[in-house]
Amino acid sequence: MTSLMVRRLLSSIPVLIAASMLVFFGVSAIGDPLSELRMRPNISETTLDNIVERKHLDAPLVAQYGYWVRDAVTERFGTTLLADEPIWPDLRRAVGNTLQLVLAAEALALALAVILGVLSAKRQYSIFDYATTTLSFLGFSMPIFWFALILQVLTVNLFQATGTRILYTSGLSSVDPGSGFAFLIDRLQHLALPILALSFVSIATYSRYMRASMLEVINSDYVRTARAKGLRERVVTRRHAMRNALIPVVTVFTVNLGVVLGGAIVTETVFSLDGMGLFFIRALAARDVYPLMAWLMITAVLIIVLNLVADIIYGYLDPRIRHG
Amino acid sequence: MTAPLHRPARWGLLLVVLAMLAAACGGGEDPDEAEAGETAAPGGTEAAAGSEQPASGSVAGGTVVFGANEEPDVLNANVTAGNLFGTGIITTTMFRPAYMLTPDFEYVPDLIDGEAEVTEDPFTVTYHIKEDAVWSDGTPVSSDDFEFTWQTMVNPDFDITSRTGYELITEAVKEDDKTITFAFSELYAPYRELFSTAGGTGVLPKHALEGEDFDNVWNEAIVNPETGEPIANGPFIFSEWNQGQDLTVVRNEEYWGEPAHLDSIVFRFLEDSNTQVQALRGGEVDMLYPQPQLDLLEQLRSIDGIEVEVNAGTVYEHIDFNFAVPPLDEKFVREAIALGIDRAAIVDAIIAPIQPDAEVLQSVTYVVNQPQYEPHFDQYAYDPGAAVALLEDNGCTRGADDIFVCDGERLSFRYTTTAGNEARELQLQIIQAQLADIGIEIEAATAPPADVFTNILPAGSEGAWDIGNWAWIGSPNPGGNIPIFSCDGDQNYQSYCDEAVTEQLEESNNIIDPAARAALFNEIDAAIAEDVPLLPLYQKPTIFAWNESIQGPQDNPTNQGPTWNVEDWALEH
Repeated sequence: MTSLMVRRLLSSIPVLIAASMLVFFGVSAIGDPLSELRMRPNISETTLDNIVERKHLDAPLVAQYGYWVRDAVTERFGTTLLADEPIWPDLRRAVGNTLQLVLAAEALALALAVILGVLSAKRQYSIFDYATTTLSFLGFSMPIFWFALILQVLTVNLFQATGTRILYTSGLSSVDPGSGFAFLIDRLQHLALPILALSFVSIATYSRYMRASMLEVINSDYVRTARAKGLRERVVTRRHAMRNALIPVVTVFTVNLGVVLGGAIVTETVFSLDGMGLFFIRALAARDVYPLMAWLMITAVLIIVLNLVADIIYGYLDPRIRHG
Repeated sequence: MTAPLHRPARWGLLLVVLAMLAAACGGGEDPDEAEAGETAAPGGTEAAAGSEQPASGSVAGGTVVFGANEEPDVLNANVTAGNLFGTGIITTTMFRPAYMLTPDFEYVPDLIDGEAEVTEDPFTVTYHIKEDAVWSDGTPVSSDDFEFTWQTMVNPDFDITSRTGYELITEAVKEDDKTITFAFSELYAPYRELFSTAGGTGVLPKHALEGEDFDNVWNEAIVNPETGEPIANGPFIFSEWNQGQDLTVVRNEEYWGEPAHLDSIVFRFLEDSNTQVQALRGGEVDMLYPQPQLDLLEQLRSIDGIEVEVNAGTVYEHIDFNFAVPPLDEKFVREAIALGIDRAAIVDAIIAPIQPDAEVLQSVTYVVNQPQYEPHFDQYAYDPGAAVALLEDNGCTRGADDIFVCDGERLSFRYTTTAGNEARELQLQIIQAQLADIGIEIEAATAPPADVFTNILPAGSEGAWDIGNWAWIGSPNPGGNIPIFSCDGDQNYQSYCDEAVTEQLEESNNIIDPAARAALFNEIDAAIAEDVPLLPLYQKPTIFAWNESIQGPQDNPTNQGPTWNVEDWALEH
């Protein structure tokens, strides 16, 4: 297991280097990073010249890449284009907030999807099964931004009807969120809608996979053998069937994390959450390539790390991988 | 038979724990540090209210939550990085200008006692600072501060957004603590724009900022760098900035003017317009100053208990003709195009749904809501018959495809504007159809904004564009027109050159008297209208919406912004 992790970690180094090149030269290909600033009438030539000097924009592209990698490694991605503000504090905050959202949404999605998938498989072609199938297709086909907006509208309608605020429609916390338990509750009130919006598609995806792989497993020989041994149905389902059925779901989960992070861009924008999505959109709107590149690199690292976590989960679920 | 799902449940738990860890390391704020008591719950209507009664029907105290469109990068509104409208909306609550720019485009002395005294030869401006004007730490606002502000604004080490006007000052003479005279190297008519809070923070506190690296003060908080205490001379002072979420200002108890009614104002950063509307509906924010969009306005108007004010703003759309591209250098061609465009129809289609009383802008010098406005471009009211007659009178003939040919040149023009701007694309379609009717062909040449402004427009003299549509920002001081309409002006992208106009524009710099200045500028405007190098269309509207429980908000469509009178805002009983 340890050697597997070490191998995976080592192999991620060239991946990261390749990613950094792709990110830098890809973003550089967009064109002059100062073009947006040149449009603003209040920005003087001196300011632009200072930026060119500070960011080495007059150096050859390869040298610029070198400066950027140096800053990324030693200065935590350096500073923004115009304001010369350090990128890292904002990005770190955004990553933390996004991880809260994404991990909570995925935890909810996995828990619900496994239950729904197992029950659907056990009761194949029942009303419950059909209902779950319909709901998951709804989940697939519903655009997140629309679903998020509907959630906001419904929440506000509920507030207007009852006068009691249960959930908030925007932001991460109240102006004065309190501390300790009160802070946690306030955070939950703010995050509930985005978590719901983000997890809906995942629930749909995972439950379909869970149902399919569960169906495959419960009809296999070893499950029949387990039953023939006289094991209780509960034990057969939990110990023998579900554990094996989870393996493909974990694969989908890993692949899907990238999609969910992408979905977080939309979700965070709709709910004005100070996360990586909004960070990305702001950097894009300001045409500031430096935070943009930092964002891309952090996303690459996150995906690699999450893939590694998935490998560990595989090892836990399937001893053949652990001992192989 | 819902079996307790042990393993998956454990994995779920693991993820939840990870999420919590992420919350712990990335939450960005320490709840203990949040200043309890300073701010009330979101929703001004729910806010705490005191017992003191400052105005009839309103109560002292409470918090108003302003849903802001953009979050500043830094709070120092004087440096380039802080030069955002979103920064100005916040800093205007904390600083007072020498002259306040009011919603009707008037300059009213604010930090100074009466109009500044002016001498013309040599040009000097003497400010009498209000006797009771003090900073929030009790230090008087003094002539030292005015001098220090000038010195900071012209310091080449600092990345100041605009040094305009300050760089003409040659000397400052402090007559006493509250009186200072600036001598200028030449006449500077728009001197009332100096020490302004529209795009700056007015006057700087010398005792707090002297010796500091001005590019790096007030990045994250408007405080005295030495003491860490908030510093301001306006009705509010800085309290707290939760980056990515909100910024709070609280009442300046030392404010020398009429004290603010509210305890605090929270600027909550909401970028998505749908979210803004839902937040206002649900009372999570109390006011909005959104981008003007029709569907947004309809939603705002449908909310009960919300006041909506729509005004003509200072940003105006116009269509420019490039003189470097024949036959657009022929006046009759430009005139024919101007007569062939039904600007009233464009306003009806694009602006009237948002602002029913919108009218066609008929001046490139003053906007409709300025008292000096004169409609010189009204001679180009829609008259397709006259347009065709004009072309025929000048020897143009229709080709087989019905498009006019003048002196061998087919009247077919590229129309350059920014892609992705719905209003501009609609405008383009309307104009295309209208000009086709009078035998002029328009080809769409849209490009991304960065490309239009960086590469295409400035290359006008090389024929990079024929007809262009973009916007200029109007100002109470039409001096901004000098670089646009002078023969060698920096922003004269269209190679328009009328020696007489250039001369008059230069002369305007030497006229101080507002009435005489306005008269000259209107004369210039009439001459420009006669040459028709461009056709003004309309002003972009501004939208300001607030909860009816707040008294006092009034939009200021100038670049001073909607927070110009925050001290008057109060919560109703």
